Amino acid sequence: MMIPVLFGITVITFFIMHLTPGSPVDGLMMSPDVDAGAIIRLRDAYGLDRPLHIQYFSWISRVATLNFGSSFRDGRKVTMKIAERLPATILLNVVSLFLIFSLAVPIGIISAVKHNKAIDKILAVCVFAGYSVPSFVVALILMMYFGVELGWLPVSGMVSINYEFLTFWGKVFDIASHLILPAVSTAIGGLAFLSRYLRSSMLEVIKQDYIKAARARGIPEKSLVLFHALRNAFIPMITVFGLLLPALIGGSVVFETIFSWPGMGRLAYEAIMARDYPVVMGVGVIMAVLTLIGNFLADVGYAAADPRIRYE
Amino acid sequence: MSEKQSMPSGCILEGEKLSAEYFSAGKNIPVLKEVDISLKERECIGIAGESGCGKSTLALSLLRLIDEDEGRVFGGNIFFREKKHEEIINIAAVDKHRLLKVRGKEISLVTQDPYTSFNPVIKLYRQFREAYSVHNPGFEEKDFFLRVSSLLESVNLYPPEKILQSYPHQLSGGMLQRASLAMALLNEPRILIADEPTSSLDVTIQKKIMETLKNLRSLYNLSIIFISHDLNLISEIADRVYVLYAGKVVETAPSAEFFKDPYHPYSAVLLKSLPKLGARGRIASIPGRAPQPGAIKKGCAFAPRCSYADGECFRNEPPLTRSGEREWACLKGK
Amino acid sequence: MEKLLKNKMVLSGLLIVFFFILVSVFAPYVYRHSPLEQNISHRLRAPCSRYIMGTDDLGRDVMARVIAGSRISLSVGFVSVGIALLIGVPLGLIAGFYGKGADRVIMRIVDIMLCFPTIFLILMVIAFLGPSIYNVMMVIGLTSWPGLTRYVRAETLSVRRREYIQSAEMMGIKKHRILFVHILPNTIAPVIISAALGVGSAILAESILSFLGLGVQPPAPSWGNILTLGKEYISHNTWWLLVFPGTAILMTVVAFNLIGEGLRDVLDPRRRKEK
Repeated sequence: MMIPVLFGITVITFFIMHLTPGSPVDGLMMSPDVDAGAIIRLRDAYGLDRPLHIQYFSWISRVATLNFGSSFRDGRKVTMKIAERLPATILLNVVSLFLIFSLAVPIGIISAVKHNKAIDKILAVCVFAGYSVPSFVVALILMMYFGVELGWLPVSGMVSINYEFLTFWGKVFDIASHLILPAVSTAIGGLAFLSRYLRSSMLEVIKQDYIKAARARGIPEKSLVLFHALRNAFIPMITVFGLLLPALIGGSVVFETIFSWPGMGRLAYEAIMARDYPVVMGVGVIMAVLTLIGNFLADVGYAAADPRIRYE
Repeated sequence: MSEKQSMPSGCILEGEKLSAEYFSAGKNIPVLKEVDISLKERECIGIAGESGCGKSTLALSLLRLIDEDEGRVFGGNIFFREKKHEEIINIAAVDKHRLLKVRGKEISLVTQDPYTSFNPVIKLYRQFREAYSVHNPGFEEKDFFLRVSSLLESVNLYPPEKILQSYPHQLSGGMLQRASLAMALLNEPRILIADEPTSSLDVTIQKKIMETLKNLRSLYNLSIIFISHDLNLISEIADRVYVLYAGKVVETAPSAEFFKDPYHPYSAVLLKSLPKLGARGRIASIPGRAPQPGAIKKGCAFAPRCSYADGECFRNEPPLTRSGEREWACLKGK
Repeated sequence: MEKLLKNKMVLSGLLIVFFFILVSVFAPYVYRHSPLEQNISHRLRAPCSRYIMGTDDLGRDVMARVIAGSRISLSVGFVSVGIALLIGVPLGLIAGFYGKGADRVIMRIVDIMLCFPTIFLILMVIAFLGPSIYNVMMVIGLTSWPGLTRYVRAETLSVRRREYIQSAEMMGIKKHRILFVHILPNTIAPVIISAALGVGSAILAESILSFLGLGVQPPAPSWGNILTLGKEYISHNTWWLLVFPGTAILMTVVAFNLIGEGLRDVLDPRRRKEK
């Protein structure tokens, strides 16, 4: 499953690059800030005179070794550029995933347990709003209110100017305060998606006969919900996690750009705007790989959580 | 709901005027109508009837297991004599906390499909241990294991360690049904409600389960409510028979008399349509279909299918007639 | 149809969409401010009686720009979903009906598309093709069909298994006739639902692209590029540059989601049974 998908993604990426009218190099010739050496390097690297499929295979063989070439803009290795941006992206996404799960689980449980009661309906409206709200606009509004109007939180970057001079805990606090707004904005969509999903899968599980059977044994409602039902409802959630990942990674392009977060998404945006092809390619492939790894982990997790699959 | 100070001696459970309905598409569908039922100590009663007559609902309502948003039980009492203090409680009226101490501890339930009586993603060990721990706070691991292994042995499941380390899907249907019998008896309940415990199993296994059930009954002095559409099985185990039709009890009688001489025409047809012992008894040869409970508003619910019925039967609902230990609801019967 | 209009969600969604269509078609004749007219001396004015939604950095009337933007958003939404339908529905039918190799190839492609962060793909294509509203429509359409294909395929498969289709096949009725007469109509419900939801997300995608400077190019007005200015002047507390276009996006997306989910409640038999 992973191999053909990866293959497909590289084909798409490669194809899109060649969609550009003319060759990627033509456009570069015009821009004065690209040195002639870079153009020659690029020609060599891509073998632009050779037929397409040969170009693809020579490109893919270098991609396989994570050799994306060097950036047009500063001549640095693409791998290096990505490597230094990756931790920030991972930090941001891990924190928002944490936010998503720690809120979605209680919301999902409460609305399933209080099915059709007032609190469920209120939560459903909130979730629907979270679903429909353009989260990049929310990001901007949060930025204006908490960052500019109240001045409570920093609105851009990952660290303050005086970061170097802070103590260890000062540094942690500094990064944390920079993280809040981007992480909250990133989490909105996924939060709505996940809590709704958990609600409906809890509702389905709670109606199952084995829950009734456990209830007949005198097991209190609390452990029925938190142990029996949740355990079962979580299994499909693991697959959903795999679906959430591309959205999060794609979203990082938008939110990192808005909050000037020094991650891979922002690197992608800058590279796209500057038509820095090697970097765009590199980031594209890495994003796809990250997504695939996430999906793979989700599959593994699914098998681990559901004994029926493990033993078959 | 009334309190009750005394029950007939030897009586352990008494359901009084139990009515139940399900909610469906904004309408209330009646399922049980004023059902009276009683169970003596160490007695086994059989509840017979076609599918849809309310048998399973009766089983669920005795433990108040009908989901609040699916339906409700109303208007009746369920008196139960508690083990410890010989105190009589009304299950229909006790608070949730007390109810949890009845479920599984005093009255247990075994359902039809063994695959749905265990959580599919949790090992049996944890499920047994959980059920044990809720009724035995501060228990010793050793006692628990002794109890479970002796139970598993008495239902013929060996070796207990291996069984307990399995997930439900790793056992066969027959094994699982044994395991759920063991589970039901884990906390030494006095009453076992067995709702079609064998009908999803094939015939040979069915027989073994029935043997096991009889064994357990004498081993643990159980009172049993045995629910089945299969009169053969009921005749094998029950001391008394209740026949349910369209949510109502139409006949009650001691087994011996019932199988010799049923009073209600419906019981008579049921018995006549019985295949010989051994073959699987499906009640299919009665003309017409059992009505939805509540579909028949006037007169006897069985009248449209009854060969003795006349105008009177369609006009008036027959009351229960009592004679000795027998009761029947028919204007034409004995 | 009557049932559809009785559903409160569908009805209110339709009303909002209708409102936006009315506004985008007629408002320019009623509301006489031009979205392009600059008035530097009135730049960055907060909302007042003259400029109901304030002005932007060049003194252009924000309300006029929001109104003009609704035209763009709605057309991007409809056109790109149209493109997605043209690709997604036939592919889903083919995969579900002919099965075998065709099914495998198509579903593999769908998997690949679903694995790829769509936004990044869109950004890449737009960056290379150049930002324009037509490219935006194309790209959103070209990237949003896989979900549709999945639904249509699933529906086709389930209809195909029904007895009357199988007996029709047995009687020698031509395959393409079965496909168009019996199967296609059955897929309409899920298609309409996901089309409605798709318009909402296409509008959202367009606004993000325009916000990032890759969609509608200034001076042409769009909700996204008003927001760009809002971000640029964020330290001036120009809340009206965020709130008004933001609300417009929110309302249209909510409207289409309401329609989609309301329709699902009414049309989707699986969920109907649950109730």
